[in-house]
Amino acid sequence: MGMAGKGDDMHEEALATGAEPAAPQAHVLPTTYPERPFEFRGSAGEYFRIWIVNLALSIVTLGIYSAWASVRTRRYFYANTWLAGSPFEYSARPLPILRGRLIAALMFLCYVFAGRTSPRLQLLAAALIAIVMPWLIVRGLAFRARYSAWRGLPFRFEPDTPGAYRWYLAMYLLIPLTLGLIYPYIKAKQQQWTVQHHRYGNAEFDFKADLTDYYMVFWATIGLALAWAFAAAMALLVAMGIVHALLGPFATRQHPIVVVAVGYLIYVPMYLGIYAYSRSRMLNLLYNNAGLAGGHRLRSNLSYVAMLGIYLSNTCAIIFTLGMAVPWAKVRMVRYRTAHLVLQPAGDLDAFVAETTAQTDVSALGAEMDGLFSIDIGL
Amino acid sequence: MIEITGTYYDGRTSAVHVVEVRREEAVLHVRGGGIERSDPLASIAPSARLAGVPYTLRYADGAWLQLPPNAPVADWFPLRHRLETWVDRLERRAGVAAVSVLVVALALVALFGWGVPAAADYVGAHLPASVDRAIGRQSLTLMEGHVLAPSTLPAQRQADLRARFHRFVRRIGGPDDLQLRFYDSPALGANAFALGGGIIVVTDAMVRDLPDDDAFLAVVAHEIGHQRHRHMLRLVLRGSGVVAIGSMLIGDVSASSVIASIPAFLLNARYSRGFEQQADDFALAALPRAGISPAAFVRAMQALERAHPELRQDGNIRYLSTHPVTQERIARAEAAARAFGRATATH
Repeated sequence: MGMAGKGDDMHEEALATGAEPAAPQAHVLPTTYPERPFEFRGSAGEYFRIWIVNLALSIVTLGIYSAWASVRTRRYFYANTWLAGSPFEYSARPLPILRGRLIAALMFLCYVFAGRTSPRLQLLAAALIAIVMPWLIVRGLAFRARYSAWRGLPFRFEPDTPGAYRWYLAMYLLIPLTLGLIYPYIKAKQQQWTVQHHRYGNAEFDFKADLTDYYMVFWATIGLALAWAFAAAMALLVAMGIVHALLGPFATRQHPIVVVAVGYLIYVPMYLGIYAYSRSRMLNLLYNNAGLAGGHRLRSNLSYVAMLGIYLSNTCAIIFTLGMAVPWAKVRMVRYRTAHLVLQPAGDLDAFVAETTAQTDVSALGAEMDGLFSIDIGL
Repeated sequence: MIEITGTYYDGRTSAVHVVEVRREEAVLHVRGGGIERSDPLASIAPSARLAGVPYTLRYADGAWLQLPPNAPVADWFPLRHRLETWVDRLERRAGVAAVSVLVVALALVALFGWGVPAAADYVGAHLPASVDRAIGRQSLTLMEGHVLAPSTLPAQRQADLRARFHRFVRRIGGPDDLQLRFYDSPALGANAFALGGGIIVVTDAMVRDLPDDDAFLAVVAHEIGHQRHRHMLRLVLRGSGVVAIGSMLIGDVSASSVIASIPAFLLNARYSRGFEQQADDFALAALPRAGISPAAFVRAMQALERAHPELRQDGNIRYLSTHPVTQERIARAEAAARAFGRATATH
């Protein structure tokens, strides 16, 4: 979903892929392995300095330094995420990221401009992007996995381009034909595809999805959206009454500023109210369905109300501090999500083994593109 | 020689080895947990220094050594990561953080107040007029179905105004690709605006509310100013620049797109205000060339204000408005009218 939380996604990517340890099959007593919680050890104060200094350098260098800034930021979040006494590791190098970023920025600028020039041009641009998108998704996932590691063993994403075209392009064509009813099915399959193509060392991730869960989230989100829309309409009526009483009757027309301000006050909670629900439920499904060869499982129990509270307070804090609260907001969200994720090992976490073939470098273009175009990779 | 406790991973399994690490000259010794190796520092790739984050040292054979954040690893490898070591020193100073806040604030003001407009205008100057026409036609098509209905003005009145318009354009030597269009629009009320590529839209209510034909020409002159300076194209380009650059900045800070739309809105209003002023300047200079006193512009503004009482505001919300404050515009037009009066009196 939105650009919102690109950083979150990276992190979560690390966790998803970072899930864990593979172990000897058919072990005796799974109960002998205690649950291992994920833990975030970073602090808002520490991150604030990293953030502001890197932001200043990025701006002063007209964006060139931003590749270094993004590597330092990701390293900070990965390395502060601990599991079973060991931190995660992010090891991408800045230069390939810079190259990917420049190309991605240029394409994005053309896309935005096309969108404002003519709907037909935008349609064409959107079609072009839809066609390359699955390929970019594969490259992006491969890049992130390649440079994520835990305990000296890297993750890997098995590039499956035909699969990406199937789940991220062909299936979308069926949405209008099925009046959207196929959407939860696509989401489930996208999560499954993404998780199943990840490896940790030579251990494969598995994914057991129950379609009913996805349809429940789908219908509940629609119901919630209707409820929020109704509440927003009521709030709008009340707000109009207040504005009318305070500023006097201007017939049906109000000053544009009043309209925009009231719009924000109503739209933002509504948007976050729906987004927090689908986000928390889909993340829970992703983690709870994912496992690693040998029977290791993940457990995530994010709560809608808590997530919504964090989103709302983060939004207010960021607006009232003119953006200075961004590091605090980000650390808070990551800490909450990490605190609600545990690994249930089915074997020895020391027993994962590396793949026999060495990994080659992966281009950063895909990783930078999907960030900018805010692709929803279904995570 | 100090010994440092670290964690060693052999790169083949996820087993943890707790080791004691000692550096002697250009050699690193690792011992403990079943591991014993000594390697030249030159064969090891360290990670850069970062507050609160362990160092990771990578051996050529794929093994890893993790050392605590306070280990003197950066001193062992003085030639590695020189840029990031310098950045790390900056990140550890509260004073630098404070200066950075200032730098970011100033840079954002410079970037969006000057950099983006300059870059967008540069690109705009190199785009052919067909782009303006495409933008204008598309915008008009979008509006025609919804807010713009066919004009209810008598055909004779429309033809009369068009004739005056074309005479005016000829006298001021204006662009020859202009089209004047009338529409009925209850939603927009008394309004006039310029779309890209020479399209000038005037609503029926505007024509009815204006006191005389010279006031009508004053309004139209303002819109011709927008056309002359290609304001629609430039606004589109600037908006694209704001979104593209904003997304790159926000993408990294992970704020919500809901938050990002607030500064985008304010910036758009700011750019738009600048263009309105430029269009006013054009109109106030063009009217005298056609022998019309800029006092016509004052009458037009006053008529507009009567038609839109909700826009009558004090100066304190100017930063949120798309147009300059009406009183200021009227004052400037009055000054131009006085200058016109003096000029015609001397002839």
